[in-house]
Formats: sequence, structure tokens, C-alpha cells
Amino acid sequence: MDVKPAPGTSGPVFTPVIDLSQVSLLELLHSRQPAVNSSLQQVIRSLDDPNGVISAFQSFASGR
Amino acid sequence: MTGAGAPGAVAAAREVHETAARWPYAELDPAVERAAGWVPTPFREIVVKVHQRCNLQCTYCYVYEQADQSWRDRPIMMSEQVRHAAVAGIARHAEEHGLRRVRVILHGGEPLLYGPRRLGELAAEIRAGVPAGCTVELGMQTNGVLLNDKTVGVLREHDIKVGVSVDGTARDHDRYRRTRNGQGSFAAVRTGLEVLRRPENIGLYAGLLCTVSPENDPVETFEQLLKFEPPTIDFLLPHANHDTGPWLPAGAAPTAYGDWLVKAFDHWYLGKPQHPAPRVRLFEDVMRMVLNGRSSSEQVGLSPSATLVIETDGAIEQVDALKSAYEGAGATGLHVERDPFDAAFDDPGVVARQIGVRALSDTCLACDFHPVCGGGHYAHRYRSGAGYRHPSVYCDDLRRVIQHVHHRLEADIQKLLAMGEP
Repeated sequence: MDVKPAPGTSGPVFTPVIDLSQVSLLELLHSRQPAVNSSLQQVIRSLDDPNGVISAFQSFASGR
Repeated sequence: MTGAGAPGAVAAAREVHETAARWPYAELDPAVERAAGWVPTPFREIVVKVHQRCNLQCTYCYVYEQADQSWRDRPIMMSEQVRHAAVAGIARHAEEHGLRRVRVILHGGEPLLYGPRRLGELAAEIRAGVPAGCTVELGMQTNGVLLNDKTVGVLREHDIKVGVSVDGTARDHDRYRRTRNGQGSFAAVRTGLEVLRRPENIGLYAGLLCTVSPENDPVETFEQLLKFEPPTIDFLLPHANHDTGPWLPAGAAPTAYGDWLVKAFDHWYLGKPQHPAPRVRLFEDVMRMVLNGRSSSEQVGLSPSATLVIETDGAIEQVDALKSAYEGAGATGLHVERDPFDAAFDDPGVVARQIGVRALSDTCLACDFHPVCGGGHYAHRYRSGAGYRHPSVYCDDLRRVIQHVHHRLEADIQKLLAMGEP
């Protein structure tokens, strides 16, 4: 993905989403990249959270 | 200011807010937001301020060293009466909203000053009070100085997870986190962490919070934190706003904080594998959002805030970080002995933190990064009078970090796909 300046802006255009729509997530979940693996697992876990993902209180060290 | 819970307390709080922060207090109508589709997110995190004082005097503390000084007028400790009301309020809210999970964070000041006996009693009361089917996670964020066998034993008995604040190497930590007589606290914190890391206590160890400073080397800082083997680390930008500006050392680059975080990220992401690898909340949040997930922290993203604070005097407030903005910035006028938590959904400040993009400035909305940065931490957007509808004072730093993480992830995922193997 090339990062190009958008017309009328002073900086590059940023598309925040990497398009994984054509990719099997199962393949990526079993990747050898632990950080990618962990992030993808959290994305999937959040789909099953009936109360929704919240912005947690930052003044407490917690992984969740 | 009229005490929380007293007649007219809500109106008195609003009067202060409407002058200090026109957005949202004079310009956001919760009824309009409901009509536009906003559905309140129940409060699943309750911060219980058990003690109002601290045994350290950290230079950047948002409770004692910034705009709001309300701690001076509050009881030093939470009374039994307020404690009972707080537990009842948590239980009622959980029941009314059918919450399956609630986190109660014991906080301060320094929560360990409340004493291990009282902490144990409170923990037991909370667990006994919530409805069946609702799991309570109890946590505590401490400066670590008072962690010893006795206190950790009580925390273990009541399964209270413990987060500790450490700002890096002894030299760097002691520059900011000192006792009242000016002595550094690193040695005491290190001793406390040794107790917490013993096999019988390790299950309590939640992780470390580290406030970022451009004066400190990010790799040295990270390596020091790793020595304490935390399950989780979070790097926090020090609270600042458009009135104060972020502090920068002489000669620092404009994106000194972003540069720092980028170096720390690369050290974590590219470093030698550690088993188990520590999680870094800010970095994982950015990564998750780059992959179209949602943020789980206050520093980035658009997820709703579902946190309420109960002060030692029973006042129901927003998070302490707002104390960096102005006196009374967190006040709602509500009180745990008189008002249900749901009453906070009529507070424009509370609503502002749950409406996602609708809280962002036009500048933010015109920027492609806003789905990930989310405008940054709410407290960092403040400008006196106008309020919170501005980009973060750390805007350029956040863009720096997000763009860097995006490039790393994109490159690595493309490599994985090209290899055609897991």
C-alpha cells in the first residue's frame, strides 16, 4: 500500500484498515508472529463480547 | 462548590462546567444524543477511591499537581457508610443492566494506605453484594512502596489483581516518583515487586504502568520494565492539554513522545522472543485497530468509556485524568448515597465519552487517522472555555506511532501472505 498525500492536506493519506477480507484469518492466527497473532485473537474475542468493547480505565495496568 | 448529593449539587457542578468547557456542557444535549441513536453503555468499571492521600509526591501527578485540588477538601478515607453505599450502587447497576462482568478498581491516592484489613473487608463486601451471574474482577493500582508479605497476603486472599507504577530505570523513576522528603522510591518498589512475583503471588500481578518521558531512553526503560517480568505493560502519555502543552525538554523534537513510543514499539515488536511475551496495551490497541478491531483503552480509539469513580466522600465522578483540566472537571454533582449510577447518563461529560466520532472536532473528522487515534485521550483535547472538542495535544505523536505500526503490520502481513504459510 503506497501512502500518498491527499489533495488539500499537508500529510499522507492514511487508510487505517489493512484489507484482510480475502485472507483466511485462521492462517494468520497460526502465524509465527506472536504480536499479530495476539492482536487478531483479541479482535475475534471482541466479537463475542455481549457488552461491547469499552475504553478501559487507563490508570490500572491490565491487559484487558 | 455545593457538595455532591446536596440539593442543587448537579446544577452547581454544571455551572462550573459550562464556563470551563462549553463543549460538551453547554453544547451537548444528552436527550438529542439519545434521539440520534446513542444507547448508554452501562458502567462496567467502577473506580473506588478508598484513600485520598499518597505516600509519594510524583511530579506529574494529575491528582495533586494539576488544576483540580478537590482532594484537599475530601475525607482522607472512605467511611463505612460510603463504602456500603458504593457496594450497593455497584450491585444495583449490575442487576439493572444484566452485567455479566464488572471490574472494581481500588484506587487513590495510594490505595494501600487504606490498610489491608479494610481492603479485605471491602473486597469481601463487593463480591458478596453483586448479583449471581455477575463476575467481579477486583484490581488495584499502587505505587508499590507498601507491597509486603502482609499486604500481598491479604490481596491474595481476596484475589485483588495488582498493577504497579514504574517509570523505568532507578535513575529515571526516581527523577519523578519521590517520597515527600525527596527520596526516590525505586528501591522500595523493586522490593515490593519481588514479593508480588513470588510463585504464590504471581497470579495477582496485573502489570506495570509507565509514564513516558522524552528525557528517558525508551529501550533502557523497556528493558528495565522487562526485568520485573510483567504480564502487561502500558505506556502512558503524561496528562497535558492545550492550556498547558505537553512538557518537552530543551531541544526535543516536536514529536518526541511519538518518537519515543516508536522506538519502544520496535524494541517490543522486533525484539527477541520472550516467553511469555509481555503485552503492551497501547501498542496492541493500535495494532488491533489497524486490523479493524476496537480499542480497549482511553488513550486511543473510539470505544465508549464505561468507567465511573466514587470518591472518598461518596461523590460520583468521571475519571481522575480530567483533573488535569480545571477544578471540578470530573464532578457530576451526584452522590452514591442518593443517586443511581444511571443518573450519570444525563451528564453531558459522561455522554461525550460514549458517543464516539460525534465527540470529535471537525479537524479530527477530516483526518484519516481518526478511526484509530480516536482523537487521543479525552483529557488531552481540553482548551479552557471551549472544552474538549479539539485534537489531542499529542496529535502529531499519535499519528507518528499509528503510521509506524501500520507500516510494520502491513509489511509483515504481506510477507506472511507471500510465503503462503502460517
